[in-house]
Amino acid sequence: MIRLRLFGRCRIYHDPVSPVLRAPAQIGWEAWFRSIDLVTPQELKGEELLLRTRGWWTVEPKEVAEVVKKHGRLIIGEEGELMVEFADQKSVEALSSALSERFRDQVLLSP
Amino acid sequence: MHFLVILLNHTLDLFHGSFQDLIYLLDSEPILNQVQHKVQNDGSGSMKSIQDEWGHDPSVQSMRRVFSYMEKAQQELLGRSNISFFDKRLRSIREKALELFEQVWPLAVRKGMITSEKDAAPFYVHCLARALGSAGVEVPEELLPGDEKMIHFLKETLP
Repeated sequence: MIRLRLFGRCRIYHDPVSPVLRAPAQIGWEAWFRSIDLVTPQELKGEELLLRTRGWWTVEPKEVAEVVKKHGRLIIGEEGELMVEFADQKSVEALSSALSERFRDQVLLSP
Repeated sequence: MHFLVILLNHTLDLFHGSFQDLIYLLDSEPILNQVQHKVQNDGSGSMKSIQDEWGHDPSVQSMRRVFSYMEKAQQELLGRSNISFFDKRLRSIREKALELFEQVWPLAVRKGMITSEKDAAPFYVHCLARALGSAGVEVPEELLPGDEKMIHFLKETLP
Protein backbone atom coordinates (compact mmCIF):
# COMPACT_ATOMS: atom_id res chain seq x y z
CA MET A 1 0.00 0.00 0.00
CA ILE A 2 1.17 3.50 -0.80
CA ARG A 3 -0.16 6.52 1.04
CA LEU A 4 0.20 10.11 -0.15
CA ARG A 5 -1.29 13.30 1.17
CA LEU A 6 -3.71 15.31 -0.92
CA PHE A 7 -2.96 19.01 -1.32
CA GLY A 8 -5.08 21.71 -2.86
CA ARG A 9 -4.17 25.33 -3.34
CA CYS A 10 -5.15 27.84 -0.68
CA ARG A 11 -7.90 30.02 -2.07
CA ILE A 12 -6.18 33.15 -0.80
CA TYR A 13 -2.46 32.59 -1.36
CA HIS A 14 -2.51 29.73 -3.86
CA ASP A 15 0.20 27.77 -2.04
CA PRO A 16 -0.33 24.02 -1.52
CA VAL A 17 -2.22 23.26 1.70
CA SER A 18 -3.72 20.08 3.09
CA PRO A 19 -6.27 19.70 5.90
CA VAL A 20 -5.32 17.89 9.09
CA LEU A 21 -7.87 16.62 11.56
CA ARG A 22 -6.32 17.89 14.81
CA ALA A 23 -9.11 16.60 17.05
CA PRO A 24 -12.28 14.61 16.49
CA ALA A 25 -15.57 16.44 16.21
CA GLN A 26 -17.48 16.55 19.52
CA ILE A 27 -21.05 15.47 18.89
CA GLY A 28 -23.60 16.28 21.55
CA TRP A 29 -27.37 15.93 21.63
CA GLU A 30 -30.35 18.11 22.45
CA ALA A 31 -33.83 16.77 22.99
CA TRP A 32 -37.33 18.19 23.48
CA PHE A 33 -38.10 16.41 26.74
CA ARG A 34 -34.79 15.78 28.44
CA SER A 35 -31.24 16.99 28.76
CA ILE A 36 -28.50 14.82 27.39
CA ASP A 37 -24.98 15.27 28.71
CA LEU A 38 -23.43 12.73 26.41
CA VAL A 39 -20.72 14.08 24.10
CA THR A 40 -19.13 11.64 21.72
CA PRO A 41 -15.96 12.24 19.77
CA GLN A 42 -16.56 11.53 16.11
CA GLU A 43 -13.69 10.85 13.75
CA LEU A 44 -14.20 11.97 10.17
CA LYS A 45 -13.67 9.70 7.21
CA GLY A 46 -11.25 10.75 4.47
CA GLU A 47 -13.94 11.93 2.10
CA GLU A 48 -15.67 13.85 4.89
CA LEU A 49 -12.47 15.72 5.65
CA LEU A 50 -11.92 16.40 1.95
CA LEU A 51 -15.42 17.86 1.63
CA ARG A 52 -14.62 20.24 4.46
CA THR A 53 -12.00 21.91 2.29
CA ARG A 54 -14.87 23.50 0.41
CA GLY A 55 -14.21 27.20 0.18
CA TRP A 56 -10.63 26.82 1.38
CA TRP A 57 -9.22 25.31 -1.77
CA THR A 58 -9.39 26.79 -5.25
CA VAL A 59 -11.36 23.79 -6.50
CA GLU A 60 -14.61 22.10 -5.59
CA PRO A 61 -13.79 19.14 -3.30
CA LYS A 62 -16.71 17.02 -4.52
CA GLU A 63 -15.16 17.03 -7.98
CA VAL A 64 -11.78 16.13 -6.48
CA ALA A 65 -13.34 13.22 -4.59
CA GLU A 66 -14.91 11.88 -7.79
CA VAL A 67 -11.54 11.81 -9.52
CA VAL A 68 -9.62 10.42 -6.54
CA LYS A 69 -12.02 7.55 -5.87
CA LYS A 70 -11.39 6.10 -9.32
CA HIS A 71 -7.75 5.43 -8.44
CA GLY A 72 -7.40 5.22 -4.66
CA ARG A 73 -9.11 5.39 -1.29
CA LEU A 74 -9.49 8.58 0.71
CA ILE A 75 -8.39 8.01 4.29
CA ILE A 76 -7.31 9.87 7.41
CA GLY A 77 -3.65 9.33 8.23
CA GLU A 78 -2.30 8.45 11.64
CA GLU A 79 -1.76 12.12 12.45
CA GLY A 80 -5.07 13.28 11.00
CA GLU A 81 -3.77 13.98 7.51
CA LEU A 82 -5.98 13.78 4.44
CA MET A 83 -4.44 10.95 2.43
CA VAL A 84 -5.06 8.76 -0.55
CA GLU A 85 -4.22 5.09 -0.24
CA PHE A 86 -3.14 3.29 -3.40
CA ALA A 87 -2.70 -0.36 -4.25
CA ASP A 88 0.44 0.29 -6.29
CA GLN A 89 2.64 2.90 -7.94
CA LYS A 90 0.72 2.59 -11.19
CA SER A 91 -2.40 3.91 -9.45
CA VAL A 92 -0.38 6.81 -8.04
CA GLU A 93 0.76 7.79 -11.52
CA ALA A 94 -2.75 7.37 -12.91
CA LEU A 95 -4.32 9.63 -10.28
CA SER A 96 -1.57 12.20 -10.59
CA SER A 97 -2.23 12.39 -14.35
CA ALA A 98 -6.00 12.50 -13.85
CA LEU A 99 -5.68 15.33 -11.33
CA SER A 100 -3.42 17.32 -13.66
CA GLU A 101 -5.80 16.80 -16.54
CA ARG A 102 -8.86 17.88 -14.58
CA PHE A 103 -7.45 20.52 -12.23
CA ARG A 104 -4.11 21.45 -13.82
CA ASP A 105 -1.73 22.19 -10.91
CA GLN A 106 -4.46 22.94 -8.36
CA VAL A 107 -4.52 19.52 -6.70
CA LEU A 108 -1.33 17.67 -5.83
CA LEU A 109 -0.24 14.36 -4.33
CA SER A 110 2.73 14.45 -2.04
CA PRO A 111 4.21 12.55 0.93
CA MET B 1 -19.87 34.34 12.30
CA HIS B 2 -18.45 30.88 12.79
CA PHE B 3 -17.19 30.97 9.22
CA LEU B 4 -15.53 34.32 9.89
CA VAL B 5 -13.70 32.95 12.93
CA ILE B 6 -12.45 29.94 11.02
CA LEU B 7 -11.39 31.99 8.04
CA LEU B 8 -9.61 34.54 10.20
CA ASN B 9 -7.81 31.76 12.01
CA HIS B 10 -6.84 30.29 8.68
CA THR B 11 -5.48 33.58 7.43
CA LEU B 12 -3.68 34.47 10.62
CA ASP B 13 -2.27 30.98 11.10
CA LEU B 14 -0.50 31.25 7.80
CA PHE B 15 1.32 34.30 9.02
CA HIS B 16 1.73 33.88 12.74
CA GLY B 17 2.88 30.33 12.30
CA SER B 18 5.30 29.93 9.50
CA PHE B 19 5.60 33.24 7.77
CA GLN B 20 4.96 35.87 10.36
CA ASP B 21 7.92 37.85 9.19
CA LEU B 22 6.48 38.09 5.72
CA ILE B 23 3.77 40.31 7.15
CA TYR B 24 5.79 43.31 6.19
CA LEU B 25 4.92 42.50 2.60
CA LEU B 26 1.27 42.65 3.41
CA ASP B 27 -1.23 45.12 4.58
CA SER B 28 -3.55 42.61 6.19
CA GLU B 29 -6.42 45.02 6.63
CA PRO B 30 -7.76 44.64 3.07
CA ILE B 31 -7.76 40.87 3.51
CA LEU B 32 -9.79 41.09 6.69
CA ASN B 33 -12.21 43.50 5.05
CA GLN B 34 -12.70 41.05 2.25
CA VAL B 35 -13.25 38.23 4.68
CA GLN B 36 -16.03 40.25 6.28
CA HIS B 37 -17.43 41.11 2.87
CA LYS B 38 -17.36 37.44 1.91
CA VAL B 39 -19.24 36.47 5.06
CA GLN B 40 -21.94 39.02 4.28
CA ASN B 41 -22.26 37.61 0.80
CA ASP B 42 -22.43 34.11 2.12
CA GLY B 43 -24.95 34.79 4.83
CA SER B 44 -27.13 32.08 3.34
CA GLY B 45 -24.40 29.59 4.05
CA SER B 46 -24.04 28.63 0.43
CA MET B 47 -20.71 28.87 -1.33
CA LYS B 48 -21.26 27.04 -4.56
CA SER B 49 -18.95 28.86 -6.89
CA ILE B 50 -15.31 29.17 -5.98
CA GLN B 51 -14.35 32.64 -7.04
CA ASP B 52 -11.12 34.50 -6.59
CA GLU B 53 -12.32 37.23 -4.26
CA TRP B 54 -8.80 38.07 -3.12
CA GLY B 55 -7.00 38.17 -6.44
CA HIS B 56 -7.40 41.90 -6.96
CA ASP B 57 -5.68 42.74 -3.67
CA PRO B 58 -2.08 43.85 -4.30
CA SER B 59 -0.86 42.44 -0.99
CA VAL B 60 -2.38 39.05 -1.77
CA GLN B 61 -0.94 39.15 -5.26
CA SER B 62 2.44 39.85 -3.71
CA MET B 63 2.20 36.89 -1.34
CA ARG B 64 1.09 34.65 -4.18
CA ARG B 65 4.18 35.61 -6.13
CA VAL B 66 6.44 34.95 -3.11
CA PHE B 67 5.00 31.43 -2.70
CA SER B 68 5.08 30.86 -6.42
CA TYR B 69 8.81 31.70 -6.63
CA MET B 70 9.46 29.40 -3.66
CA GLU B 71 7.50 26.54 -5.22
CA LYS B 72 9.25 26.90 -8.55
CA ALA B 73 12.65 26.97 -6.86
CA GLN B 74 11.75 23.91 -4.81
CA GLN B 75 10.63 21.98 -7.89
CA GLU B 76 13.80 22.88 -9.76
CA LEU B 77 16.09 21.79 -6.95
CA LEU B 78 14.22 18.52 -6.38
CA GLY B 79 14.18 17.84 -10.11
CA ARG B 80 17.89 18.47 -10.48
CA SER B 81 18.59 16.33 -7.40
CA ASN B 82 16.60 13.48 -8.96
CA ILE B 83 14.13 13.36 -6.09
CA SER B 84 10.70 12.13 -7.15
CA PHE B 85 7.80 14.27 -5.95
CA PHE B 86 6.37 11.05 -4.50
CA ASP B 87 9.56 10.16 -2.60
CA LYS B 88 8.59 9.23 0.97
CA ARG B 89 11.50 11.22 2.38
CA LEU B 90 10.06 14.45 1.01
CA ARG B 91 7.70 15.01 3.90
CA SER B 92 10.39 15.14 6.55
CA ILE B 93 12.72 16.99 4.18
CA ARG B 94 10.12 19.71 3.60
CA GLU B 95 9.41 19.90 7.34
CA LYS B 96 13.11 20.31 8.09
CA ALA B 97 13.51 22.90 5.32
CA LEU B 98 10.59 24.89 6.70
CA GLU B 99 12.03 24.72 10.21
CA LEU B 100 15.36 26.08 8.95
CA PHE B 101 13.68 28.71 6.80
CA GLU B 102 11.64 29.99 9.72
CA GLN B 103 14.85 30.22 11.71
CA VAL B 104 16.69 32.12 8.99
CA TRP B 105 13.97 34.38 7.64
CA PRO B 106 13.44 36.80 10.54
CA LEU B 107 17.18 37.29 10.89
CA ALA B 108 17.52 37.99 7.17
CA VAL B 109 14.68 40.51 7.39
CA ARG B 110 16.35 42.22 10.35
CA LYS B 111 19.64 42.39 8.49
CA GLY B 112 17.95 44.09 5.55
CA MET B 113 18.73 41.24 3.18
CA ILE B 114 15.17 40.98 1.91
CA THR B 115 14.40 43.59 -0.68
CA SER B 116 11.98 41.97 -3.07
CA GLU B 117 9.37 39.25 -3.47
CA LYS B 118 11.97 37.04 -5.11
CA ASP B 119 14.26 36.98 -2.08
CA ALA B 120 12.48 34.27 -0.09
CA ALA B 121 13.06 31.62 -2.75
CA PRO B 122 16.89 31.50 -2.68
CA PHE B 123 16.89 31.43 1.13
CA TYR B 124 14.40 28.58 1.05
CA VAL B 125 16.42 26.68 -1.53
CA HIS B 126 19.49 26.80 0.71
CA CYS B 127 17.39 25.53 3.62
CA LEU B 128 15.98 22.78 1.42
CA ALA B 129 19.49 21.79 0.37
CA ARG B 130 20.48 21.53 4.05
CA ALA B 131 17.42 19.38 4.72
CA LEU B 132 18.24 17.17 1.75
CA GLY B 133 21.77 16.83 3.09
CA SER B 134 20.42 15.72 6.46
CA ALA B 135 18.48 13.00 4.63
CA GLY B 136 21.62 11.84 2.87
CA VAL B 137 20.99 13.60 -0.45
CA GLU B 138 23.96 15.79 -1.22
CA VAL B 139 23.16 18.79 -3.41
CA PRO B 140 26.03 20.04 -5.56
CA GLU B 141 26.91 23.65 -4.73
CA GLU B 142 26.49 24.72 -8.34
CA LEU B 143 22.75 24.03 -8.03
CA LEU B 144 22.40 26.57 -5.24
CA PRO B 145 21.99 30.35 -5.50
CA GLY B 146 25.50 31.74 -5.38
CA ASP B 147 25.02 35.07 -3.64
CA GLU B 148 28.14 35.33 -1.44
CA LYS B 149 26.53 37.58 1.16
CA MET B 150 23.67 35.12 1.57
CA ILE B 151 25.96 32.11 1.77
CA HIS B 152 28.10 33.79 4.43
CA PHE B 153 24.98 34.76 6.39
CA LEU B 154 23.60 31.20 6.21
CA LYS B 155 26.88 29.72 7.38
CA GLU B 156 26.74 31.99 10.42
CA THR B 157 23.06 31.42 11.08
CA LEU B 158 22.86 27.69 10.38
CA PRO B 159 26.13 26.22 11.60
